[in-house]
Amino acid sequence: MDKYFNIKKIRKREKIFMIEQTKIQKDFEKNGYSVIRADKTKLIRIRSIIQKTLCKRINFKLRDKFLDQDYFFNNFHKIISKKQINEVRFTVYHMMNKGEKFSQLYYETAKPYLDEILGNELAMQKKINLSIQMPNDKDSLLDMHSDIYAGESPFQVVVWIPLVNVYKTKAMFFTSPKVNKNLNDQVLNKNKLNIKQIYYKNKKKFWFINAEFGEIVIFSPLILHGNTVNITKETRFSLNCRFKSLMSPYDVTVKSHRNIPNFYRPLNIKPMTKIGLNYLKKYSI
Amino acid sequence: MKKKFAGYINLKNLNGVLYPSSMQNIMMKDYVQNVLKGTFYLSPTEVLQAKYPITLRTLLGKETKIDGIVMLSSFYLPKEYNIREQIYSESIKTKKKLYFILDEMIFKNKLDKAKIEEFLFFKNNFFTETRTKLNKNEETFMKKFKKISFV
Repeated sequence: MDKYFNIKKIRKREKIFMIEQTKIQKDFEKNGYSVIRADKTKLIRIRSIIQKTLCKRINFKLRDKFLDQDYFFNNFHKIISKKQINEVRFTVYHMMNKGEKFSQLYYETAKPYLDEILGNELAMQKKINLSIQMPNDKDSLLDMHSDIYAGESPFQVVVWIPLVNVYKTKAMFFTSPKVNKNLNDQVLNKNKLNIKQIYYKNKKKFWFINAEFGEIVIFSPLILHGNTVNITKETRFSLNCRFKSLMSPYDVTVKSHRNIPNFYRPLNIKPMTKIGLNYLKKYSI
Repeated sequence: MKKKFAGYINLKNLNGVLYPSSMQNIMMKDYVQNVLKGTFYLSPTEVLQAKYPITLRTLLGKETKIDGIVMLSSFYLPKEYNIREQIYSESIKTKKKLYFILDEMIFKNKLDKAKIEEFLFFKNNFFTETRTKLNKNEETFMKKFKKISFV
């Protein structure tokens, strides 16, 4: 009897799935971002790989309170100085971007949601980035910006993975699509205020994203975002990587290098894309 | 204490060549560390879609605590003269020098303006466009010289 489907059950399951699908998509369309609970075992694996690399790089033996991963990352500023931070960051950066194992793991944490927002035939940014923002560090700031300002595709999303709980200035700031429309116009068309001044003037219209370790943030980088000095007592570790539909445009409005092979790599190519492209190859005029 | 310099990335063609941001960053960092013997602060990218150079103005603003700005070339300065004039004035006012790596030029004071403006004359399409063929007038003109050719 196993080979016969229980059509009623399947339809019920499909209906539930369709409702969830619509919710994720609607939330994203409304807010420009979603904070989503992801597969925590995968996130713990990601965090463990990074912790191992960090300990090896700075020759640190885990002991006492530092045996706890949350404590280790939140209090990383107690182990190294601000001067060392960039070198350490680069060590992790190179480790993450060597081969495709780490990026596959990264993709898997967000896959169910990327399927909803982008589709399942994707291009992935070639390099995963790591941010380390120590308390009161004024040198790791990223002013208010939209990624499209630097020639990136408006078809992309950012998958942002905090490795610790983030809140207040330990997180990044974000705004609503409505405010974004107005501020974007100020950035692009007015010659009165600079980026910092526009942000300070409209500071109240931005909020800091709240997310716990175990959650991931998917957002459209068309919306203005950035960070300020982290005035909490904890260090933020977060990863970010961009994804887009493989067949959506790469260079929009201007020719840039945010394309394949410079910035993106094809993550998965579906059979009909291969077949269609081969048709074009043979019969192109 | 070492002086702090910011890089300024611009993703517009530089005389027909597009330098990816990663390459610009490497070149500027090397220049800051090995030529200026300073600290490389950061290198924001100019907003490609903006009418005015808002990123450059942010770096020149008093809120950004740096000693100078490094960019690949003076060709990355704004196209319109009056906007460039604002940049020169702001640079003098905030005492932030502008360094142009490929041009081997520095904007320190009013006297440097003429030199840079002279250089920018060659930003004109006439010099920067890739020529692939002659136009009709040029073809007619060249007919009388058709025997003078090595190829």
